[in-house]
Amino acid sequence: MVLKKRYSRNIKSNLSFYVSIIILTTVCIMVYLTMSCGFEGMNSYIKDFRKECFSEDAQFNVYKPLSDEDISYFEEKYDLSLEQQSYIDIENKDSDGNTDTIRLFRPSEKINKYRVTYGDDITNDDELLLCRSYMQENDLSNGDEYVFNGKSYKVTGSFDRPDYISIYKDISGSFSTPDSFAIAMLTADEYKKVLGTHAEDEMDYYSVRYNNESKSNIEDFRKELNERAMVASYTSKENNNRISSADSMLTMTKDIRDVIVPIVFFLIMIIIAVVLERKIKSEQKFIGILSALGYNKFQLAAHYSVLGIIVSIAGSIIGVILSVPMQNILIPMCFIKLEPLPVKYGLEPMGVIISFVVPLILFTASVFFTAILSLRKKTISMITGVDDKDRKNKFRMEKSKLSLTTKYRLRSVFGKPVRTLLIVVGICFGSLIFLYTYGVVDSLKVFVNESVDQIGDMEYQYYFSELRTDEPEGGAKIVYSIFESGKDGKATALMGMKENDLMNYELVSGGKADIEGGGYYITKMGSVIYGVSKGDKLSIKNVATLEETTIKIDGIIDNNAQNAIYTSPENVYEITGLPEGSYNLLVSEEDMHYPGNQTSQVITKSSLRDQIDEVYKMMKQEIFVMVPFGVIICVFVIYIMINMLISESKASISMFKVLGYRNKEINRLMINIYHFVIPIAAVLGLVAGYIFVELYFQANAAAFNAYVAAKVSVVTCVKYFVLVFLSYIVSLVLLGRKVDKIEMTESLKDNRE
Amino acid sequence: MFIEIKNAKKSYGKGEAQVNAMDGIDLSLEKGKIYTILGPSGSGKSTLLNMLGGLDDIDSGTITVDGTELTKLSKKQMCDYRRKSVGFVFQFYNLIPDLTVRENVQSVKDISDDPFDIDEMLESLGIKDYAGRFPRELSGGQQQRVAIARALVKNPKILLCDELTGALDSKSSRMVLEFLEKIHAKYGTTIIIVTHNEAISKMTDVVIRVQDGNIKSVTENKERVSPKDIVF
Repeated sequence: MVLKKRYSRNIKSNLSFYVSIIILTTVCIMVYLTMSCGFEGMNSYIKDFRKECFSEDAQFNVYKPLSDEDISYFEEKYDLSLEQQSYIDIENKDSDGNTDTIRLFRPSEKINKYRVTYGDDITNDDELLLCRSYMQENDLSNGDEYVFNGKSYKVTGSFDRPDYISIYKDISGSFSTPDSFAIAMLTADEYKKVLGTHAEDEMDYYSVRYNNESKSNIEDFRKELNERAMVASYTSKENNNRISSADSMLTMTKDIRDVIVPIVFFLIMIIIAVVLERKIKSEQKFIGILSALGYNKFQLAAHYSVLGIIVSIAGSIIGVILSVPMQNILIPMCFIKLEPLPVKYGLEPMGVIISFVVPLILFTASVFFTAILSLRKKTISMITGVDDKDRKNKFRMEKSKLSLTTKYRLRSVFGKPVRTLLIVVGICFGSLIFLYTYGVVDSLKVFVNESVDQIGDMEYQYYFSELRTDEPEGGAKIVYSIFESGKDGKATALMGMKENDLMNYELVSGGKADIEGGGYYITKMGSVIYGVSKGDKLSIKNVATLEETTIKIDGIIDNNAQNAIYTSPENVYEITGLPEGSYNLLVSEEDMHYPGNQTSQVITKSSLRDQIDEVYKMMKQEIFVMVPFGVIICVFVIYIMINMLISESKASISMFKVLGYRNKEINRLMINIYHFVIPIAAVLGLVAGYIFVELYFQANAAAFNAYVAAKVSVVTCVKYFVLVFLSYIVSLVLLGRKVDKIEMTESLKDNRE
Repeated sequence: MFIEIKNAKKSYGKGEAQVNAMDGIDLSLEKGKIYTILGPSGSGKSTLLNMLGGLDDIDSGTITVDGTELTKLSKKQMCDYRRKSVGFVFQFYNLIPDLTVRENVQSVKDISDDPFDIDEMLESLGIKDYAGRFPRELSGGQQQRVAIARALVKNPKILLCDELTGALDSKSSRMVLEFLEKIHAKYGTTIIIVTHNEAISKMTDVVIRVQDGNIKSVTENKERVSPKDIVF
């Protein structure tokens, strides 16, 4: 068909529009493929890692240690693997002279076996494996010497365990601190030697791997385990942040791929459909002539559909090519909380197919149907340009005292609602990405500064490995027990205490919680995770006995850093059956210097701050990658819309030139019409961005193990408004030349408007 | 002379496709008269009008209007020339679709130094009742009267009309021409009408015939005919 010649001419004459659409498509494909390859690559690596290294399904502590016979008994009876895991935390000076904690593991045989991720395995007693993140943080390479526990070791490589994919010091931790905490591995013989000088620092727990994962089988095992050994704590893999954060990160990556990217696709589709609908309208005389010559609707719609095909294929090809180098930058950002793993990403075949097929179908279909709809007009109406329907202008403003410029702008903005709406939506979407990254950083910053203090004035939390009844030298005693609740069995701590000055009892609704009165008060973070409010009932299941209790929530404590329920000690004794007067947690302002073998975990507020600080630093790096995407979308959406405005107003612009209007005056009257829409769109974008950040933290409260309230700082707001206005100004400047180029003779052409 | 054109040349295209729209035109026009430029399609009459209106540049030669040599003007000065001295009326009216009748006229008044009163202008053209309407709500004849009002409101030195009755029926054409004559009588504006319609030339003072980019003849009408008596 001779019409084919029009494709290149059409693209040449509307080059900026097609380039903009191709860039937007490229960005989409790039993000989609990167997320897709990241998800698939990491997902298959983690699956394989967990399978090959026998990742645990749960870990627990007991008050009565299990004998080898007990272990064999449980393994046979319940078709599971059970193994005691041991480690020693050793304080060690790093290259900068700072004291780091190195967690040295005894090599396990059945569960949580280690895998060398980079370099070689240890074979001699003077060799050592460290986790990759710590090596990177301390500029250590394979083959380097590392002084540990007073002895020099050769670092043969890095390793990881499936229960330490996120290297958190505490099992309830949320963020890794590679500058001060690492895991290490020595040969079994060398471990024994180290143990000789650190016997009382060795920590034990049991890991279990269920071969038969039926719920009843697991519950029966847990019940019998409790009867035999008195379970002190039981943490399923879902409640173990070192394991579950990988799944959270994978889900998040999948969500971006499956939710955010399709939204961008949809946005581009709308833009293409709207712009093409107007393009077809501007060519209606030409279409009318072709129609009169005998071309049918289908042929003409197919002709315009090819433009959609060209745009989608060009965008897909460039997107696929660029996604390869982008993977190295974007994917580590997606899995920011995980240990660096030797995952081979490459191009995921299904992702590549989708990258070509989906835009091709969506763009072509949107263009085809838009063309079909536009071709419903009578042929004669298209040729003469006389519409057979009366068009009524709703913005007459006959009696209005507004200036001509204002009236003209108002008609242009509200008379073309789709174009205006696209500008608003485009800015909102572009700003969403920008505000997401900055908002997350701002929120974490506030969280570091404020929320950590919401726990209370205590600096130290000592979790004891055994129940105690002695009177401590200081601090406040708490009896706590871990319960599972909600659909996913997410763990929460039921904490019984006498009111003290070290904990925070402020309620979100104002006033103080009446702990000693026997009420149950859940922290704000817990209320977000379980979706409960004051007055609601919540069922909690004891992880030791598996007995279920329903409690009524009497209030929400203003505490975003802890998932816990506060109540009186009596209530805890009654529900758990723990002996009255006992306690297993002590909070204090001062260091109580308990020996390592008496505590199962010691959490300090400063370590919590350090963890969040680490993520804060990493998120700041992410800004540099994510923000350009937001900027590109903002700039191009505004650019496309202003471009469309100029194309549609060509005849009027030309006429104003004939009438003696200067370019500045024309710009003021016709092009700068969105001046007042941009601030409105920017404010809406800000609100949308804030809501998005809030939803993000709510959805990920469990994964972060912290409810971070959304905050957007004044500085971010300023940056955001500057960005939006700069995008707008850049678009206007770029398109200013286009106004200049419009010939006055344009108005002398056939203009029947 | 009010308008002096000397050896003006303008061509479009290159090589074999080159068309000489003005092939060394020499022409002198007096102030306050009505001129018709007659010629078949492609003769160069519209090109001549565009050059006079400062819409396009000539390749060589000179065009002087009221002592100002257009060829020496900068882009900005040319813009000022159009703004102050020239009024245009086109075949297809070229009104701004998003402005009402009054606003179309006001858009020119707002940038003029010594404009006429809009109401008076609309009144004299018989379109005051339509002041609040948009162009698409008017007939062709009414739209052309709005275009004339817009062109005249600035009190221009020259009114350039390109096929101003080309899209109108005979009744509307006659009406528009009557208004034009009335305006000429009232304000003494120099009017140049480009047309291929011989009948229109009868109401003008001077008839200039062009063919293939050249002036074929310049004839003075001894007896001007009233637009009422023109037979289309």
